[in-house]
Amino acid sequence: MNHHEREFFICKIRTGKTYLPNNLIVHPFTSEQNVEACIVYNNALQQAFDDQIMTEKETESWMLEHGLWSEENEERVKGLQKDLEKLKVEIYKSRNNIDLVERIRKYIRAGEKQLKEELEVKNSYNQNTCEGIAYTEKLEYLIENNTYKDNELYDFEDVGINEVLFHWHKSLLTEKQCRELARTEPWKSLWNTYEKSGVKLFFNKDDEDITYNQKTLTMWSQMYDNIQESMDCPTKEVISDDDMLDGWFIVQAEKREQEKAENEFDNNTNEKIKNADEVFVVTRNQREKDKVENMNSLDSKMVKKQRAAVLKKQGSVEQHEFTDEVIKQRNKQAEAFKGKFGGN
Amino acid sequence: MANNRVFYACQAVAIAPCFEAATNANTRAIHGLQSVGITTNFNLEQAFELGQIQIYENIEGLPDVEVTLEKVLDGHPLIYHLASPGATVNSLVNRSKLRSCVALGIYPDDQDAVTGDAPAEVYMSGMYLSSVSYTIPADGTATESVTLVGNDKKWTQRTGLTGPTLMFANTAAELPEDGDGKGTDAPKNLASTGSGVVRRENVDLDKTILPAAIFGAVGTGAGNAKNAGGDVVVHIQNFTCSTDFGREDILELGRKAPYYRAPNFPIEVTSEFEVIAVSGDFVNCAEGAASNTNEETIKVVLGDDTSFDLGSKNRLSSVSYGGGDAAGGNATITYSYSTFNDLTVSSPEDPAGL
Repeated sequence: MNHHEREFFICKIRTGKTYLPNNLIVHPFTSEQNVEACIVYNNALQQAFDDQIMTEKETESWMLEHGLWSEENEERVKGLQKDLEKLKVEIYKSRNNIDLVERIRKYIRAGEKQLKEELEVKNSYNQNTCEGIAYTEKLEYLIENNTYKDNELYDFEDVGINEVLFHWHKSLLTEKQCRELARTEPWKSLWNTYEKSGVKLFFNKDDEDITYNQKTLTMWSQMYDNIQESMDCPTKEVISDDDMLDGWFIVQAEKREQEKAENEFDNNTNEKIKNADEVFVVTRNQREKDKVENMNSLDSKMVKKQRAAVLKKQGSVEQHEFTDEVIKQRNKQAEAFKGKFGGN
Repeated sequence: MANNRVFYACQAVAIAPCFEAATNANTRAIHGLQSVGITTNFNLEQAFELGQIQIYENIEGLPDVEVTLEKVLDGHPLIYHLASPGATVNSLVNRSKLRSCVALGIYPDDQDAVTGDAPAEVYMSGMYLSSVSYTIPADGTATESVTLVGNDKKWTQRTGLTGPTLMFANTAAELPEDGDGKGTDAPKNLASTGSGVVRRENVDLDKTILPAAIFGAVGTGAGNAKNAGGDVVVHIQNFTCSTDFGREDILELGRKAPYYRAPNFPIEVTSEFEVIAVSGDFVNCAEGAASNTNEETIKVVLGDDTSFDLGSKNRLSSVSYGGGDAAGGNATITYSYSTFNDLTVSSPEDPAGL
């Protein structure tokens, strides 16, 4: 996005109003309207149940029964999500290799496209479910009561509600747009100074709730602040690259999970086991096994891989034959040598 | 905390007496095992000579292997007993002489329960008992922690030619599965006494003998935690007893390995009772007194007849009063006792039958 495009977006977001074609303006919803909308949703949901319309879960089963969706499709979605995570970690780790980064980025885009296509098939009947119908009614209620033309509540005679809804949906920012707006000017300086300067971020009226765009923009701004304050703060280059930053998020989450699992284990075992070089934890299922495996640091994972390779090759191995032990011995020798001659 | 710990998801541990061929009968899987830690140290000694700065020889000493196993008390045989199945007398001295072999079986990721020979195994032979410790807390499960030390450790991956040394299909079968690969092993107590894993309610206070110095204890006989009306008057929060054999290598000319790792007798056995303070500790001491403490009997018995008998020569080594903070924590008194060479752990499931 160019600076003027970003400025245009930010100005619109700050007003809270959504500017649609035909001079239509959707005002932010008030708290009371949100409550009313929830009541509309609940009533519509109940009505849909009474009319024996299928719920989302029932539709899923129906699609499975009629071959419109399958377990294989479900597995494929999970696989694609996992692959995307791996690729994002990979792009973060390969951030210094420009050629590789671009190659991985192509795979990510292709993966996202495939995932989108799969999810479109999966959700193709969602609007006809109880929840889908109720959601549409809720939205219609909100749009009908907040769409203005020439400062008058609009009557939807020239432009139908469906068309307004279509344009309103289109006006919602994508995650990518929101992240770019949050980390760049003109929003960035406004966000950094609003507390001290007393400038208002948003111009919503007192009883108006913040809009979806305002919420996501604030959330991402806060997120970028947190990243800057992180002990392992990534470089500027990583922060401004969504794919790399996603990889950094995943790496950090894995690290936290590892630390959490390790602390949990340390609190429940005795000192001797806690301080041992090799810790064997009896596991009963795959979940526990994964948890234990995740307690290993990158170094430990590497040691395990090396040991497994040596074991596979030789069948039977004495402890001192493992590469990590050999390195440990060398380090010990070096330490002893230094100790003897008073080196640093 | 060790920085470069390697974690393994291990599924079974087998233990067998040393210097006997491993058979189905004498190789036992440990039930209720929670975790195992192994530390291996290679000891190096540098030799230098006048005339060169380079090392003359880096002499490798004896490797030390230390394995610590922790299990919940559940009615199945104790690790201490499994590590000394050939004991002829149920005493610390007799059991301290015995050696055992330990194997950890690592099974594939896709198995819910262990079946068949272990595809990978860590095998340690000639292991001596190094320390034993039991904990019975008021808020959790009772645990046993045993440390074994030795000088021999080998990793094996099952191939056409090599297989596991101890973690065979028959040993794995001691941890049963339903035939569809789902584990069905359960605490032995569940079948015999219905109690499952030992918790606070499974301590048999009628058979337990507490030291008389604990405030509230009624006399010196069994059941002294209760008064004549049968009400519990000593409110124990935690009991621990432990001992460390402090082994020393006895070496001889003509052999690198020690010919024996002798326990450092006398071996101190310590025990600790943490009780809720319903009053003070009422332990008096006077500098001029010939003796401030008495020799006391300690015996803790569990519902499945497992017992920890510390004999009648226990002396109070310290008493501390703590807790009762402004945040509303309970005040507790910790009585620490010490004796020597006397710890008899009995269990109906002792493979030695003692």
